[in-house]
This record gives sequence, structure tokens and C-alpha cells, in this order.
Amino acid sequence: MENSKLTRVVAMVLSVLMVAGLFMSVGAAKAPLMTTAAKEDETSIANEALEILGDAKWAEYKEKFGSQPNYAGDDIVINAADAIKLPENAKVLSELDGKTNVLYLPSEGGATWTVTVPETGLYAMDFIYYAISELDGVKISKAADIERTLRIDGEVPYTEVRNLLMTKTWVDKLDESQIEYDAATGNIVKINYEKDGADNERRPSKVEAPVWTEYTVCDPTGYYNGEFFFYLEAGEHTITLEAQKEPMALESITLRARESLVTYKEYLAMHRDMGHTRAPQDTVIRLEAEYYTATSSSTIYGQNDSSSSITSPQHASYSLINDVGGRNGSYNWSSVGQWIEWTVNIPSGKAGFYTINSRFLASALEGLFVSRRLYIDGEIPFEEANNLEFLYSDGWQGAAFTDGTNEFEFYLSEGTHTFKLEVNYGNLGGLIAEIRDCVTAINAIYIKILQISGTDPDPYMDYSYYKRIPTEIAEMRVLSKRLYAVSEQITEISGGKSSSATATIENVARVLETMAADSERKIAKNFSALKSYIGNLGTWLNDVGQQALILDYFLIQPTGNELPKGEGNFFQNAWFELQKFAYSFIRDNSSFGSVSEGEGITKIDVWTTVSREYAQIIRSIVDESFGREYPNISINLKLVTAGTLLPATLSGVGPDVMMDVTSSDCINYAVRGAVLNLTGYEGFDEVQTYFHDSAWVPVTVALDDPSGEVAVYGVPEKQSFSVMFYRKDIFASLGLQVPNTWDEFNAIMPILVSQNYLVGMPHDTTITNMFIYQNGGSLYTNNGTTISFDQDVTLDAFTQLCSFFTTYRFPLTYDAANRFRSGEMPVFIGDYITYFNQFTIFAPELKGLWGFTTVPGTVQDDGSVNKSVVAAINTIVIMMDAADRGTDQAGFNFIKWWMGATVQGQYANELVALLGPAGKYATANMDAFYDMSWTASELAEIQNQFDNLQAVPEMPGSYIIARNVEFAFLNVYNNDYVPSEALQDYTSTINAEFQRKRDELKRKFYVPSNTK
Amino acid sequence: MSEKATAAAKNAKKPVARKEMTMWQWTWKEMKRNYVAYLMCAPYYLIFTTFTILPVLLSLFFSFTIFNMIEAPQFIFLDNYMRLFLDDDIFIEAVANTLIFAVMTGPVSYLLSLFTAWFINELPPKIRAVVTLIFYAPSLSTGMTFIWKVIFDGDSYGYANSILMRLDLIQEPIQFFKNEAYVMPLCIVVALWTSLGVSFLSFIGGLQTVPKDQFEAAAVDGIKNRWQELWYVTLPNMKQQMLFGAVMAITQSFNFGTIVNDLAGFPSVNYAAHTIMHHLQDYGGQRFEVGYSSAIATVLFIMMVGSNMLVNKVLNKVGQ
Repeated sequence: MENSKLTRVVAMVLSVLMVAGLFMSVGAAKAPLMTTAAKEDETSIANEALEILGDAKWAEYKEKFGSQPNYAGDDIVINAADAIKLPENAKVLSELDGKTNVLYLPSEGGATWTVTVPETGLYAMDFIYYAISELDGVKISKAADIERTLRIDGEVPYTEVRNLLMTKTWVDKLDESQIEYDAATGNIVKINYEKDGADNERRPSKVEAPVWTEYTVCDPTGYYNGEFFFYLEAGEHTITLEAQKEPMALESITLRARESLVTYKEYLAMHRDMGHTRAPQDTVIRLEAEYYTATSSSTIYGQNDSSSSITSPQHASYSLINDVGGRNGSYNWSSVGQWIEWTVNIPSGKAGFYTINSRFLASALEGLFVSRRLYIDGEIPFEEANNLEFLYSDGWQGAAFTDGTNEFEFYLSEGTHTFKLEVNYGNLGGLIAEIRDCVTAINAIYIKILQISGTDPDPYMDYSYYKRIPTEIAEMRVLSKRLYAVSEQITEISGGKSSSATATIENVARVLETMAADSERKIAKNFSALKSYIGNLGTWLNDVGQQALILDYFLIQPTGNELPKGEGNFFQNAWFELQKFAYSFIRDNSSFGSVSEGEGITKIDVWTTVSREYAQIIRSIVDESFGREYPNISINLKLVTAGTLLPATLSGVGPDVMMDVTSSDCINYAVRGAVLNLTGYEGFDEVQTYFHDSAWVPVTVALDDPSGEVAVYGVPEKQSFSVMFYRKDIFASLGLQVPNTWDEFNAIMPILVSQNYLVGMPHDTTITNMFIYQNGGSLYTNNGTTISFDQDVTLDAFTQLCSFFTTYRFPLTYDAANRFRSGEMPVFIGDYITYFNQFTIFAPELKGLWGFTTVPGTVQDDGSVNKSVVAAINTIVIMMDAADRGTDQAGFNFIKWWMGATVQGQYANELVALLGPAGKYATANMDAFYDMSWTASELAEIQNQFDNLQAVPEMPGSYIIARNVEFAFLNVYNNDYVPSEALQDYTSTINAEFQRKRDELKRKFYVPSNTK
Repeated sequence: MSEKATAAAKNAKKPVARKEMTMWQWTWKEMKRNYVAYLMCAPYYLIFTTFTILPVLLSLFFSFTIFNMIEAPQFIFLDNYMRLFLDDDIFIEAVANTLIFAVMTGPVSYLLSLFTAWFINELPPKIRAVVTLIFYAPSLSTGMTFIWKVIFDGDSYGYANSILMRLDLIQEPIQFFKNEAYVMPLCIVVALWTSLGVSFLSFIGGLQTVPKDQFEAAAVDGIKNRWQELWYVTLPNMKQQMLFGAVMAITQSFNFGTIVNDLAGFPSVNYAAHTIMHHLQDYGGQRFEVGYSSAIATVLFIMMVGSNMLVNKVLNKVGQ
């Protein structure tokens, strides 16, 4: 029995150990998620970052000048055409949509006006603008909001006016015959949308419908309600509008007395005094939310909800357009400033007080609510209408418009009214602003500590924080108190419940409190905890930034009537699900195509491997416009998993056109005769002009002989390349310039390293190739039959790469996003679109504090700088089977249409709508690429790098290169080999593999003689 | 009974002796007689043939050809095998690695499963259920290996690196999965960790089915300690489970490809943890050389069958 006891003890110990291991694994799994969003950032010189950091905030400005007297005189109107300074290409238009003598301002440059104000005081400001989309018959606008920076006397008075946001107006392109009106009231009762081949409703395309709009300067970030004011002393001032995005036309700028809104109580009293009463009880006007009249963005449109049985209209099988708004995680009607407008007719004799009730789904912000601002006939009716609240629930709800306290009644007179709901932060706005400020301040402190003690401070070392950063330590105490206060307020707003939000905030507050209380011992100890908590808080801020709300319909009726029902009852739901189930036997929803059969119609199969959301967008674009252009081709779009292509081709059931094929796969298929050479097809010459020359290099080969026939096996689809990202604030604080050449790059390394900063650089073939091509070398020699690892240029390039890792010990493995955000890694080289997307949403608190630019270049003998980077592409190919089926030209027509600038531009915009600012898409079509909503300076940097693109030809057997370069690199890094020798060792291995492939394959591919 | 009776009656009508028929005739006759049994087996055999036997035969065929999945195969007889054994250094390395893997993880994980099962079996039933789940959990999902990736991450924030750096044992992060010195041992450790899988469960099941009276009888017969009890009573009673476990362990030990891929990437640094599975994947997947990778598969197949036979023999010695 002794033995058995012993075994038990051993078993217990073992199991305890394993349990501990399991918990560790669970803990590790909770790595912070990087999701969510923010707005566009701007790029410019590092000094501007300091300027932005030094900007006053509106809250401070208000505090400072709020007690000054209000201007009370007449409006001071400045005619836009009287500008004293105009940007290039700006001009005065004699007539524009009913207004004469207005000023056109392009999407770049600033315009300045002078104004003399009669007395010192506070002024509000209005613009009358027009979102001009065409000039002299040429389309000049992109699908983005207008953004301007306002300067008064050359200065930005407070940071919020750096990005004034003026929205555009978009309408659905519908034929009047599609709309059915109620005979009695004149309200829309039904819209007969176009249908696709499978009888699903097709959403109408959107067009810009600009109108002259009055814009009152107010908070574009959505934190503060009400108009902004400016403190102006009597005398002459200049007003400057600097373009950030999009052209606009301007009629006038008005400085005027401040106005304030009435309260709801006053509003009711006012109307009662006028003798207004409640509307007749039986007046119930029902309006489907998807029958809106205008939206602020091309990407807010009616959608289908098939989750609830009573969303109207609903069908168990066909997809009907039955709601509008943004689903959780989508960016439609979720970001501040976006609006939707509806029109309602009040029949004669029915004027009076109405409530507006809606059936809505607000499942985005758990435990909180989403906010909207209400305009009726273009005006906010009363103060509280700024803060409409839609409470959280994971199901549909029906409720009247409310601010959480009152259910509002609005007086609506006879006739037509518009009402508009605009995304804002409502009651949470001030709190979010406060948190955001705190996060910025904490980040600054974090970087200070980082500079003293590095990324991983030793808790037992004496860093003398209290001597070196006494003010920061005091600030920590203050910040901690501020955060606790915010957390308390949020608890109060959400009805006394603590939530994940408050927990996140309090974590940061607690750590700061601890650090401040015992700086010497606790700072080092809690440093990494602080970092991860700030990260969580930033993520939460982003989540709150997305105020997603979906609306089904409105009931406009006097109070006391039945509210919209939230969810269907048991029988409705059961019947609906049963129908769905039954239909699933009849209807095929797996293929995405709108296939139509018939005489003279060529049917082609197109396969893609993107995610379902992407495929749906592709389908909707195909549905919307491909058929119009090519009525005789029918597209059957199929979503497949990667790896399906090979077996499908083998068994002869492959597609005609395959999308998303990597360039190496493209060549691998080509050399085995599975994809078509595209050079002979009608329209190929035109397609060739869509892309940068470098995009063609990987898919272009010479057949049989280096100077033989040139074949092209794919059309570029996506093109990605590296740029250099840097933190402007850190560069500015260290007094460093952003390096333009590798010599300059090397020169700043000691400074960065001595301050505990890290530098990020990949060690793979893209960077090796970059150095090779910057030095005028090439990866292959002898027209692609041998590798250049025995050439000096290549060996020097590899040595240069290795030197960064051996001399400065650049980290080999790192999470660029996290380290860049925290400031540990103020500069790194990485793929432009991946990281651009990531930072825009991941680090909103850094807006304006980071930028990207071309990679450093190599100085050439003639003194010029070669800034080449090597681009990678994805391609679309036509499979050999298509030639047998006779669908190859149709397939090529599809590719030509799909990769055209218009369609690619539309695709890119739809993706941004779906995924938010993080949805930027690396289309290879240059025109479409430039047409995406970049700021002018971002575009300049990207264009600059685009001009310096190179590409490596793709040869059969090229898979052997990357792995051997990696081995050589690791031999240098781990085992201290000499770089040139380490690389040279693999020359024969690689060449042997090339030779073997050449022997094995019937088709012989060479790099064409005229390319490297 | 009645069915048998009628069948017998039918036979009686046609009294044909076994001797009077050829072998095929007789087989056919027997098959007709037992057609119900064949009908019952048919679905399984159809599937088994289509998806197991046919692919093995096809792969055997392709191993004598050059085949790239797109163009028609080209017969080259033994060239693939000659190149494999005589002109492919990496294959030889892969064989060595595979054997190291198999020897380290096969028997070790087998014994580990057995002894852990034995220990756990001593626990009270409720605790035993929980502990069994904990031990079994790692093998439930292959993705679980990512925890080791986090622990041994090459980033200075990886757990192991972070701790070592904090203790000032190292100055900069070790690239655990990118350094030949660490890759293989770490992969073996992780493989052992995930290997307490099905065989372990079957051992626990087996241990619980050992009749209690045999222990009592053995005690009377003079068993001195728990070891003797294990060897003479428990194990012989568990032969079925042990054979099953052994087959599983062997198959697994030759199949550790995915774990290495997850941890060290593909291919592992300087082919340090390159096994036959990887070599097969390399040629079949990346290089479009299905013929050559079929040859590799055949070699692997023979190795597995061979070691299974060996294990069978060893297991027969248990309890003797």
C-alpha cells in the first residue's frame, strides 16, 4: 500500500503541473486583438507632427476664451471669389447649379481670404459649399468626403479644425417608374428594385447629387455637440482653407453671432403656445428605412437581412433589400459624420405632434448604446436631438426616438419634411475625448520611460525615475484620477452596470496609480503591463468609434400607438425557418453567378479564393455592370478554397478564368501547359497600359530562346511592395531627419540604438533583392538559367543586409504593429498596404504622428539615388481548358473589364465601405490605385515609390531560392558565417535545381533578353 | 435457423462435391451462397478500395514515372528510386531525422502513455475524469502547438526569451525555431506533449477492464510488488489495447510533419528537422513532382509496415 500512496502523490503532482500548463496556454491565447478603425491620417514632414502635438484642443480653447463676449452684430459675409491667395488650378466659375460667381477649389493647396471684424469677441463660422463632381464635363471627385484644414491668421486655432469634414450627397439611381407612392399620403410604399438572374433584388447604383449646402464649423470628430466658435480681435484677419482631400466649390464664408439651440422643454412650450396639438390618433405613416432619399456616402445602401422573420419586406429564399445601415464591424453609417436622409409627407389636416418610431438593430456596443443626431428639415430641432440613443441588444427592437430620458414628440406641419440621422457620439462624446487625451498623454510618458530604461526594464536596477522624470510621475497621478472619473461616469450612463469598458479603463488607472505612488520600484515592474493595458484601451476606443446601427422601417405616428415589434413570435419564426429549409432543396446559393443561358451566350466559369464578403462584392459589381458592357457573356463566379485548382484542372473540370494566382503558381502552371499565353488576345495592348511595367515582369517569359517569342501568362491583379514607416514624433524629438539613403540610414542607427530603440527590417528575399536591384544587379544570370549568387553585386547586397543584423542586432522576429505603436520601433520597412491599413485602425491615437516614405536608396556613381524596391504580384489567368471550350476570348474580355480603372476603383471603394479605412486594396491598376482616397501627401509618397518599382522574373524552380537565402542568412546570424561565403555556398545547389527543372520540363522558359 | 435450413435444402438438390469443382467455381458458389454477407461488406469495401487501396496502388505506379499532375505521366522505371537513394542528400538527412523522431517519440511516448495511464488509474474516479481530460486535451487539436510557439518565440517578448533575458542569462533573444541547435529537440518535446492521445485513452480503458479477481488470485500466488502485478497481470490483460496503442504511436511518430511545420516553418532551417513527410510534401506540393514524391511515399510506407511487424513481435513477449 505504500507504493500505491506514492503513485498517488506522483500522479497528483504530475496532474497539477499539467493543469498549470493548461492555464498558461489559455493566458497566452488572450493576445490583444487588433481590430477596428479610425480616420485617414495625414503625412508630412516630421516638424508638422510637433505642431500637431502642440495644438490646443477645443476643450482648452473653450475654457480659455469661453468667457469672452459674444459677437452680436450682423452676419459678415465673405464672398469666396474674393480670395487674396488661390491654389494652382483654382478658378472662379461664373455659374454653378444656380449660383453665380463661385470659387472652385481643387483637392490640393490652400486658399486665403481677408476679413475685417468690427469688434473683439466670439464668432461662429459657416460655409456655403457644393461638392462639385465634374468640371468642364470631366469627373474630378472620388468617393470620399471633403476634408479641409482651417487656419486663422496662419495658425490652426485648435486641433479639431485640422480636418473639417464636409459630406457629399449621394442618391440611388432609380427610375421614377420603379417607385410606388401611396395615393392618399404621397409617401413611398414600394420600390421595385431590379432583379438578377436568380430573382434576388439588385441594389441600385449610386450617383453623386451635389447640392448647395450650408456647413457650420463644428466638431468633425463627433465628441462635442454644437457649433465651434473663434475668438477674433477687432481688425483684419486672414482665413485659410487648406485642402486635404477632394475638390469643392465655395460660395461664401460667413462670420456670425453664435446661436444656441432651444431645449426640448422650450421646444414643446413654443409649439404649444402656437396652439399646436397632437396629430389625429389614427395617422400612422409607415416608411421603409431602405427607401431613403439621400446618403452621405456611396457605400451606405439598402441591404438584405435574412436573420429576422419580420424584417420587411422579407422572403425565405430570395434576397430582398429590406434594411439600411451598418452591420456590426462594417463601416457603413457607423463613422462620425455619415448620414441618411428620409422624406415624409404629412397629409393635409394631419399636422400635429408625432413620434418617430423605428425598428432597429444596435448590436455593436455591448452594454452601451449607439448615438445619432437628428435633423428635421435641415435643422436640429432642439438641443437633446443631438443625443438620440439606440440601446444595445443583440436582437431587433422597436422604439421611439429618445435621448434616454424623453421620448421625443416633434411638430410636423402639413406637406413634405425631411429628417436626417447623422452618426455622432452623443452623450459618450466628451468621455471618449477625455479617454483619448489620456491615452495620448500616457503614450508620451511611456516613450519617456522607454528612453530611460529600454523595453524590458530590470525591476532590481536603480533608474532614478523620480529624479529624471518628476513631472511625468506627477502627471501619472493626475491621469489616473481622470481615468477613474471617466470610468465612474460611464458606469452612471450605462445605468450603474460596470462593463468591459470600465474594467479596461480602470486597469490603466490602477497601474498608473501604482507607478506614481512608488515610482522607483513599481515603474520597471509594471512597465509591460502598462503597455498592454494602453493597447486594450486603444482597441476599446476604436470599437466605440464604430456606431453601427441598422434600421428596418419607421412608424411616424402620434404617441400612444403601437410600437414596431422587435422580433417575430414563435410561429412566425418557425414558419420562416421552415420555408428557408424547404427552399434550400430547390435553390442553389453556392454559386455566385447570375448565369443566363441562351442562344449566342458564352458562359464562363470564374473562380476566386477570396473571402465570402469579397466575393459578394465582386458578384454585385459583375451583376451591376458587366452585363451592360458584354451582354453575350454570362459569368458564373465560384468561391473555392485555395488548392482546388490543381485537382480540378487535372480532372478537366477547372474554371475558364482563375483569380488570385500567385506569380510563381502562374509560371508553374504555364510551364506545364495549363494556362494560356495572353499576348494574342484582342485588347491585350490596352490591358498592358493599365499597369506599371514592373507588374508584367514576373509573368513574362521568352520561349525556347532568350530572344525568342515573348509570352505573357497572366494579368496582374494585386501589386504589393515595401515602404519605410516612421514615427514622426520620435524622429522630431530626437532631432533626426528621415533617411533618404542607406548612408543616412546607417548614420542615425547609433543614435536610435543608444536610446533603446529598435529598427524593423525583414531578412527575406524581398530585402535582399532590393539591395541587389538598387546596386544595379539582378537575381538571375544567363537569362534565368543560373542564379547570381556568385556575382559581387549580389554578395555585396547580401552582406549589406546581414550587416544590419550583425552590427546593430536588428530583431529577427518582431510584431511591427505593436512595437511601432508603442514607440519601441520608430522606424521599420514593411508592406505598404498591410501596415497602412493596420495603423489607420489600430493606432488612432497616433493619427498624424506617423508617416511612410520610400525606402532609403543607394547612391549611384553619378550621384543619383536608386530607391528601387521589388514588387510582388498576384495574377488572373486563363486556363488552357478555356481554349478547348472556345471561351478564351470571353475570359479575356472579363479580365479586361475587371482590371479596368473604373471597375477596380469601384471594387476598392466597396471594400473600404465593408472593412473601413483598413480595407485599402492593393490593386495593380495604377489609375484605380491613385483614385483611392489617399491624402495628397500619402499619394505623393506612394507615387514616388511606384516610380521606383522593380520586379524579379519568375522562373521554374525559383522556390529553391528563398529557402536557401534564409538558410544562408541564419548561418550568418546564428553561426557567424561570413555573409558572402554563406550565400555562395548555395550557388551550386540552386543552379543544379534549375538545371534539373529545365531537363524535366518540355517547355523552356527564359528571361527575355531585354529585361534583367 | 430457417435461412440456414433452406440454404442447406438448396444445396441438397445439387449435390456437387468440392472435389469436382475448380477453385474458382467453388469460390463463386460459396460467394453466391453467402451473398448477404458480401452485400453487407460491400459499402465498406467499396470505400476502402476506392480511397485506400487504389491510392496506394496508384502511388506505387506513379513512383515509376515523372508526373506533374497536369501533363500525362512519363514512364521512367527505377530512376526515381535511384535518384532518391543515390543522388539526394536531403532525403538521407530526412531518413535520419525521421528515424530519430520515430525512436524518440515512438517508444518514449508509448511508455509515457502507458505509465501516465497507470498513474491516473490510481486516482479516485471523479478526479481521474478531470485529469484524463487535461492530459488528453493537447492532442485534441493540432493548433494547440501554437502555445509552444508563443513560449519559444524568437521575439524578445516570447516567454522563454523574456524570462532568460530578465534573469540576464542571455543578452538577446534566441531564435529557438530558427537555429539548428534547438529545432529538433524542441520539436521532439512538443511531439511528446501532444502524443498522449488515443493510445493513452485506450490504455486507461484497458486498465479499467482488468478483472479485480485476477489481482487477488495473483496476490495469493505470491506477487511481491506492483511491478510484478503490472507485468504479470495488468499488461497481459491489455494486449489488445497495447497493440492498438503501438500502431498508433508508430504511425504518429512517422507523421510528425505538421508539428514541425507549425513550429519551425517549412522547410526547417538547414533541413534540421526535415523528415520524410516533409520531403514528400516538398516534392509533391511545391515542386510539382508527384512521381518522385510517390517514390518517397512508397519508401515511407515500407518503413511503417516494417516497424509495425517488429512491434507486433515485441508485444508478444509481454508477460512472459
